[in-house]
Amino acid sequence: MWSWGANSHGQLGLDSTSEQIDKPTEVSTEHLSDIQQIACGGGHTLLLAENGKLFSCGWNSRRQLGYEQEVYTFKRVWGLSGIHFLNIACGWDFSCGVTDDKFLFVWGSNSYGQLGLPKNEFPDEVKPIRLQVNACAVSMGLRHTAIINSKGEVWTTGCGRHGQLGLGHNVLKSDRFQRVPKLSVISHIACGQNHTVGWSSEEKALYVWGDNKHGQLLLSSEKYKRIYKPEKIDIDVKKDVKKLLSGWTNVLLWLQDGSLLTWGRNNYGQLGTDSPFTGKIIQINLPGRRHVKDIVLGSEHTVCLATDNTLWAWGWNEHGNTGTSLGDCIFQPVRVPIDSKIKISQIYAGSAHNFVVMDDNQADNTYTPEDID
Amino acid sequence: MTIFHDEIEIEDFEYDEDDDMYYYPCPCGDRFQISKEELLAGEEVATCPSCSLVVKVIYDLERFKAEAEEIHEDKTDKETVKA
Ligand SMILES: [Zn+2]
Repeated sequence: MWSWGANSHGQLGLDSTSEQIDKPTEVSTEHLSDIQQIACGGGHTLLLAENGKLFSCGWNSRRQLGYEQEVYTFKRVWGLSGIHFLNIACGWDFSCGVTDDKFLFVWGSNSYGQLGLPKNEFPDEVKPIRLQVNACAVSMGLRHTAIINSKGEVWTTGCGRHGQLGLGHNVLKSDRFQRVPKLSVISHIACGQNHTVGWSSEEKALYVWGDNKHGQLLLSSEKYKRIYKPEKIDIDVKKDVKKLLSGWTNVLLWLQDGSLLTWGRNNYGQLGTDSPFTGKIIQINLPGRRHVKDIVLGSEHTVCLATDNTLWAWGWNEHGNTGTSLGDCIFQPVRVPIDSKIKISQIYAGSAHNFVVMDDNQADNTYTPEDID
Repeated sequence: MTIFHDEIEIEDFEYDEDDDMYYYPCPCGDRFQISKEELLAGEEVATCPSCSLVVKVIYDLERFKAEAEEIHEDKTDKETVKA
């Protein structure tokens, strides 16, 4: 496993804190076998290993690590031992895990009710607790949480000052999950800084709500500063969606046919192009007609793995998120310098930090890299 | 001229009573910060200790001063009662 980027709180799992780690650096995985998933919060990281065991490291100001100490290498969340997690997610300073029976556990900051727990009973720092909530999908933003249940309904909780809960302009905060009205069956959900986007596979339609300061809702930012209820947007996409992702103020759709559609703020190169965002969807391509194997978004940057095992990145680069020193803003995909012998199987990004996981089968170096340039 | 990463209303900042500071998340993973004292002096630029980004704090100086005084008076009152 390798990590790089911002490390102010030890979120890279490298047993140290520093402003940043410029180049992909190997993380000790002695005690971690069969890594399933990583989730990156503002300054902390969760890791799911074999049999759904949970580990964490980094910033722990609000118990977002799931235990009391602040640690800079991955430490087991013993308070949740015996629980088999299948999925994890992080918000700014709060966290969650979905169990194999689809129950949602939450912990960390509940300052805005973003854990879906009554604020008077559960103050700022919350220990892991199981909610009576079934989550098929979950996304956490800066101060709000959205889940999709088995019926395809979306439920939200937390801060709603900018409309990100989608519950109307009378509900500017909630400390319980509430059902978002005006939606059809939703299959994908993503929370940004102050907005939420959902995709309906059934309808092939995009639903958006919340802050639109930078056009992240694909609506005119002059006309709509923010909207408090879901708006359905027909973007004429007939293909299935593999992933719907959101940065703080930019959104990306990765389609089954491999295309990448993106929109929103582009002041640091978030959209991977030097053309300004004018309110219309931008399609971007990896250099050399490479195909996308996986793609992830941080707060203001993107990391993309191609099927030929090359790794690409763009966007805000002040903390070396692209692994290069080509400047603070990278407006085109650039190659992340990582040993090409490493066959990458998983990629993850958080606010300004990144992880890649090597394919387990080649730990004995039997993998022969193809000529990739 | 300063290029602001964002303009953030004071209501969106988290106030920490222990150090009299106002905080707002920075996309780098750290936090923008500005002290109550700075705000009272009319300063409106919150900085992040871990990166170069800065945000403009949107607030009404006169109202902020008035509210700060009210809170101060409240505290003084309580202390008087205790004594
Ligand atoms: Zn910062």
